Amino acid sequence: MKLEKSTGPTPHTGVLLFLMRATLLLILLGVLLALCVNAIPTDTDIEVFEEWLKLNGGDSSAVSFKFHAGTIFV
Amino acid sequence: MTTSSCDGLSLTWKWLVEIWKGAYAKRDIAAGETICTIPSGVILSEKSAFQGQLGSALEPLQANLTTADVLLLHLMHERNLKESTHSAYFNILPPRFQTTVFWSEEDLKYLEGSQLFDATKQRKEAMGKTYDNLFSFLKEKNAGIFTSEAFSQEQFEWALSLVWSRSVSVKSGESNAFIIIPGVDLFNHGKGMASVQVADDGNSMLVIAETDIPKDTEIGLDYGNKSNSELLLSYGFVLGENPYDGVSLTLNVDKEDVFHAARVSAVEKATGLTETPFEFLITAAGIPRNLLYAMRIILLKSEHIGDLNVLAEKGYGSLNDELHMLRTLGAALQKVSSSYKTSYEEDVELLKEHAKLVEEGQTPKLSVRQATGLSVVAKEKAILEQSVAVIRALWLDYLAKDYPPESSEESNEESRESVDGAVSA
Repeated sequence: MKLEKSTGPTPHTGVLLFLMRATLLLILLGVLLALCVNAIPTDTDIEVFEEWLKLNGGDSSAVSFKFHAGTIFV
Repeated sequence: MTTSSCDGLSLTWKWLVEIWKGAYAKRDIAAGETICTIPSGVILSEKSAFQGQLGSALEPLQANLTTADVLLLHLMHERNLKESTHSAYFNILPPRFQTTVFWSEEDLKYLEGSQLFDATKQRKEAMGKTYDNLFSFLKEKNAGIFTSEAFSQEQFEWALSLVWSRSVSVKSGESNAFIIIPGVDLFNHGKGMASVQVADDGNSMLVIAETDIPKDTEIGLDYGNKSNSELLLSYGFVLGENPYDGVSLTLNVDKEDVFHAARVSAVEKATGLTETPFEFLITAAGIPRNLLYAMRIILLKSEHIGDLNVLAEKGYGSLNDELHMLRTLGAALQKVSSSYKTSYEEDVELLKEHAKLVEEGQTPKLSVRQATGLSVVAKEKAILEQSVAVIRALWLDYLAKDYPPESSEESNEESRESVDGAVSA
C-alpha cells in the first residue's frame, strides 16, 4: 500500500481534534469549578467579616486584617 | 492580593495559593489597650455545635463522640451551609493549608529521616484513621445527615487542619477542649505583643496589647515556644531565626528495672520534669543540662545505685558512669544522624545553589516548600553535629582533667561552665 503525505485534516483527524478540544474545555471547566468551590478570599470578604463581627457585638476597629502579597507556595 | 489576568493555568494556581493574612495596628495602640473584642456568640465550639442546626443530629450520638469529633463535624457542616451564620468567617479562611501533611511525596523527600518527616507521616495516618473510624460509626448509626458528599475526607482534612492551626485550647471540666475564635486566628505568630483574655463579664474574648504598638505595625500573638519543624507541621510557616529549633530526645526508664521508681523520682527531682517519658530538646544553644542529669540517673549502674541521691542533687557519678553516659548519648545522636538520606554538607550545597538561582532571577530546582523543608532539616543536622562534637570534647576533658569536679554545688556549677562548653542551662 502506498503511503502519501497528508495535506490536511481528514474527517477522522477532525473528530480527534474535536475530542481533544472538548477534553481540554472540560479540564478548564473543572479547574474553574474548583476555583469557585475553593473561593479565594478577597479584601471585600475581610470587610464583610469585620462588619459581621461588629453586628454580633465585636470590635476590631483598632486593627486591620490584610493579605500578604507574594507568599507563593507552589 | 493579585488581580491576575489569568493568562495561563500556572498563573492561576499561583494566584490560588497567594493567600496569607496578618493583623496590623490601624493607629498607635498603648500597652493594656483592647485591640479586638470577639463576642462569645461567634465562637465555634462543642457548645455552638449543639446549639446550631446540627445539634439535633449530634445529640443521640453524643455519648460516642469526642469533643473534637463534634467540633470537626460542626466546622464541616457550617462550611457547607449556603447560609451559615458564620459564612462571613468561613469566606476568609484559606481553601488549602500549607502544613506538611498536604505536601506531595516529592516535597516530603526533602524531609526524609527527620523528626518532622515522621511526625508528618503519623499525622497523615491519624487523619485517615480518624476519618474512617468516625464516618464508619456515623454510617453504622444511620446518621443520614452526614453524607459522604457533604462530609468528604477532603472536607474533614480541611476542618482538622483548621483545628490544628487556628484553634485555642481551653479548660472544659476535667479536660481541655478546642475552640475557634474568629478573628483571633487572623493574628500571626509574634512574641510579647498581645495576648488573648476572657473579658471580665465572660461574654467575650479580648486581644490585649502587651506593649505599646505603633501604627501600621503587624500585631502578633504568641503561638508558643515552637521549633520550625513544629511550626511547619501545624501552621505551615517557619521563622528565619528560631531559638527553639532542635532535635528532641525522649528518655524512658526501664519498667523492669528494680530501681525504676527510685530512678524516676531522682530524675524528677533533678530536672523538675513530672511526665514520663522525659522529653528534652537539644538546640543550637547546646545540650540541656537536664538531659545530662536525667541520663546520669537512668544509666547509673545498679552496683552504684547508692549514688542516686547525689545525682538527684545534680551531682556527678563515677568517671566510668559519666563516660558510659556520654558514650550512650553520643551513640543515640549518631543514630538519629544516620537516619537522614543526605549529609549536612550536601544540603547546604543544594540550598546555596537554590539561593544563587533565586538571586539571579532564574528558576530554581527546588520549590519553596522543598527549600524550606531542606533548610529546617539541615539545621537539625547542624545541631546534631555540634552536639556530637561537644560530647567528644567532654569525653576528652573528663579523661584529661581531674575527675570528678569539686564537690560543692557552687563549684560544680563553675566547673560545668568551664568543662561543658556548649552544654546549655
